[in-house]
Amino acid sequence: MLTLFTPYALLAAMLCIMALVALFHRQHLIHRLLAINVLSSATFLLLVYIARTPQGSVDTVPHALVLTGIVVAVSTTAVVLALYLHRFRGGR
Amino acid sequence: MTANLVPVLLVIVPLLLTISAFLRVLTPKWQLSIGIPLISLGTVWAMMTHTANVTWSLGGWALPVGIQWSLNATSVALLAMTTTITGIAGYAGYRHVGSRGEHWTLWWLLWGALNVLWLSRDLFNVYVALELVTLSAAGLIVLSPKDVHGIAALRYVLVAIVASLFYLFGIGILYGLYGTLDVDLISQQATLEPAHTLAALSITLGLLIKAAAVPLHSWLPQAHTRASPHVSAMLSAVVVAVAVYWLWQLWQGPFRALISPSLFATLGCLSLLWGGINALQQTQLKRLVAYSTVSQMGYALLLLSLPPTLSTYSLAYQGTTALLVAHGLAKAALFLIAGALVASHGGDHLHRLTGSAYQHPWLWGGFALAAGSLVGFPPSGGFMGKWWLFIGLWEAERWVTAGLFTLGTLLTAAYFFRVVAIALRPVAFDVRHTPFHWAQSGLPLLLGGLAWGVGVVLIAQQGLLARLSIDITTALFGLPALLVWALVLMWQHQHPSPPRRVFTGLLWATALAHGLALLAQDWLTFYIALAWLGVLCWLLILQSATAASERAGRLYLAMMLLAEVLLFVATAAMVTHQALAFDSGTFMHLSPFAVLLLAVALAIKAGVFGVHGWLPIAHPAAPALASALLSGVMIKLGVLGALRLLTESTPAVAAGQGLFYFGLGAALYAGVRGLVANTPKTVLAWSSVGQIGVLTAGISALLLAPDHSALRTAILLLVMSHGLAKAALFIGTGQWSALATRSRRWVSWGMTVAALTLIGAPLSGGLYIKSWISYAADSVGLVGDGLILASIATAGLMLRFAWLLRHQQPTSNASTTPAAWLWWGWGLLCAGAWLIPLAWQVWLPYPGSWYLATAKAVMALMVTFVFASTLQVWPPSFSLVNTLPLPSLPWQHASRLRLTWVIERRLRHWSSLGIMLVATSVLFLVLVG
Repeated sequence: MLTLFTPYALLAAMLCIMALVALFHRQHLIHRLLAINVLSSATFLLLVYIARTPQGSVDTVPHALVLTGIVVAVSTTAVVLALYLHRFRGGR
Repeated sequence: MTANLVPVLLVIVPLLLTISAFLRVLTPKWQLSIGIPLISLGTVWAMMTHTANVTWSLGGWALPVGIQWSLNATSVALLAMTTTITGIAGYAGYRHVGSRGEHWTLWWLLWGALNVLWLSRDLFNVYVALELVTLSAAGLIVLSPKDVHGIAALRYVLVAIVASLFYLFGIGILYGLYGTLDVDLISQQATLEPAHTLAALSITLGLLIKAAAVPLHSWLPQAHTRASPHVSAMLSAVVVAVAVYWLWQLWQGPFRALISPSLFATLGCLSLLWGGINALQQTQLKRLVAYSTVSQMGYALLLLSLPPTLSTYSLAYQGTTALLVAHGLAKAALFLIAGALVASHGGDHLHRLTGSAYQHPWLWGGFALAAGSLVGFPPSGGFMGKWWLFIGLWEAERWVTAGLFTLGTLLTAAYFFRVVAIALRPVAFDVRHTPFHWAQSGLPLLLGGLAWGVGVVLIAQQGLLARLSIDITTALFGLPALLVWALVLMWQHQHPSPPRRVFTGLLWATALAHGLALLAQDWLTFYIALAWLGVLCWLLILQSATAASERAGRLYLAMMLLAEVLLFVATAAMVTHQALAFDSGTFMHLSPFAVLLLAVALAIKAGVFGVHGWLPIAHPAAPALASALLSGVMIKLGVLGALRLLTESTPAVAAGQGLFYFGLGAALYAGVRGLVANTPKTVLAWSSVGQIGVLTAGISALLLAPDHSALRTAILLLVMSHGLAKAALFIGTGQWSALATRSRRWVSWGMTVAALTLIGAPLSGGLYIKSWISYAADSVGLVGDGLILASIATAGLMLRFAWLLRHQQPTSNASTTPAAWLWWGWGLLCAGAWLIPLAWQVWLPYPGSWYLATAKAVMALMVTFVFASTLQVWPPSFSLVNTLPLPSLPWQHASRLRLTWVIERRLRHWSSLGIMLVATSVLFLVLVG
């Protein structure tokens, strides 16, 4: 069923594939981290897309999930960046 | 109402402790002494209430929107494991890292998140907890001194985040389909839409990465090796188990309709074998243990290859849970031990550990317990788990998986025994290392003991064991055992050879296990004792501490393990049919294949011709007292097993016909091989092969007529008489070179009596037995006179034995001869072998003609003498090429099987992970979609 919202689903899928290709193809650590961020954004987009109920109203649970997910994504990004710094400053 | 305290104790307490550790409100000592008791209390509470099906709705929100927590039998078992391991590892860690605040913040966070994962039924809640586990575990790894640059932690965290995102992606699709996140509600509504399959693929990939399933395992060895010991213990024991648990929950719930046996069979077997092969190649202990985790998780995945409709599914599920619990306990013990060894030896390269067992006996005792449970020695937790899972595989008729399963077990045994053999290698220097704090060796010992305790409790709960008792078979097997054991133990006490306390301890342990095997009235007890004896005898052989004994030990162990695995398979086959008590006629209902496995296994144990390869190598290599036991009483256990299973009501088996002549041929072959042997002990060992050949012939006659009770008695008498005579001969040979010429004369008289009984000389007990067997064989339509050939072979062997002894020079220090009363006890063995069977003439008179029997015996002796005198000079040194039935294993050093090494290195590349993800997805879609 092709609807107004299908492009969002397709976009999520496309972002997902792009992120995965970049994640395993690129050597640079920052690129990998960015790929992970794009991958999580794609997942959030999917969650936002499914928030639409058949009745046309909006389910709020996925929104809560996305909010939680964003918090998790930010903290993981921070941890990975901290580990990068730790590595390039030569440990403790 | 009070049950509401359970989640508070299990989750809120660790979270509060996280905060207090972060704010430095409490010192780590206080944190531990508050946290561990409270969480343990919560665990005990959960164990008591979980049967009441309590559920907790967080914040009072009802389903489908709210988050629900509950417990089931599996999660409670795993929760108890987590609490035990985390508590113990926490205590060990406190001694290790002391009071670094950030470490304890992460530790409590990890613990709280793990408890959420066991409690929660909400998929998004699980995602959050998984992320918390990942982040806190990565932090703990980076705080470890071995991972200065954070390389292992970085890799771990990147892989784990990708895995979590895969999981989240799948959750998103599931919510879109069903509008709820509760795993039980989704299971009720599950459909077979493509989107559902896509969700299954995505979630499964994520969890497979976290469970370190091959080929997505490449992050694990590095992360688990670099971390501090107590952190590795947690990661390997619990964090990996969480992912497996959620794979089970999802595939038993929402994805149940999709289940494809071959997918998880493939992945499970791949993990099992690849992990095992790589563990065998490692040169460092921690890496070896880490690869062993990869391998053991394969078993847990195999559960999902069983269809849930199977009647034994719940048994297999219970078994796999027990396996996961026992694996966790044992693995935690192993990592703590590895940490202590690194501290003591300055590294965990295996070559540094040479002879370490003598320096840290308690530590290695813990290692042996933990490794034994992982290998699956009965009655450990690992054994029960593997056994029940295997019963499931057997019933589902997944033969290939079952075969690879046993291969995986053999690999596990190989890599752990390799380490133990290195640690047991005798060392020249005897440097006393500074003793450890009790906790360092005590805690792993406790964990290892708990891994066994799981198995013992499960066996006791099932009521699988029958009462030990003494019947006629036990009595006749027990008589020589009693005499030989009494003599050997007293001998070792009075005149220790070798003078080591370890050897004495091993002898006592062996005596105990042997007694258990004799008294067993059910198959499981007998099997347990047999498995133990296999290992104990290996240790006894190693005690003579020569290059030959190490080689012999290796061969012995390899063949015993093979026998053990065959027995394991046969045991599983037995229990799918019925009870395990001997008197329930177990043997009758087995399939021909299971009977074949059983027969081969018992034949290996007994040293029957064809699978006798270990016997003429292992028996001479052992210390004299040990070889007396091995040849005298141990190898008879195979015969005991056969007699136990072959009850009088068993129908006749036609295969007995061919087997009878096979046994006679074996006796002749052993005669020829023994004649060209160069040491007296080897000749005796070949004579044992020959006598086992005669016993094979006797049992095959019994196969044709299982109710022939006189024949049964004759076989028992042969077992007894041969046991006494052979033990006497081995002990005499062991002492021979230390004897002065005068004492040699007396000893040689005793040996002559024993040897003549073995041959079956006129008037001896041996003749009575052999005549009876040949009479009985005649009566069931076999050529009983064939036994004369066996007598001729034995006579030749004994002549060769005497000739070799005559040419052995006495050594100069003949002063340490044992006390005279020991020699009198020894004489009792010789006399017993001759006289005791004759006493049976009263109750069971020989029905044939004594004159004829005597004439035959004399003829056999004369034939041998004629041969001997024509040959005049026996070939003094002539040895046939030793044809070993097994190729030598890559055992001594970690030989890099080139191909696997290259592949494993390639898999470590980051881009390989992407390729493997694609490959696993393709496999999934082909097998499921």
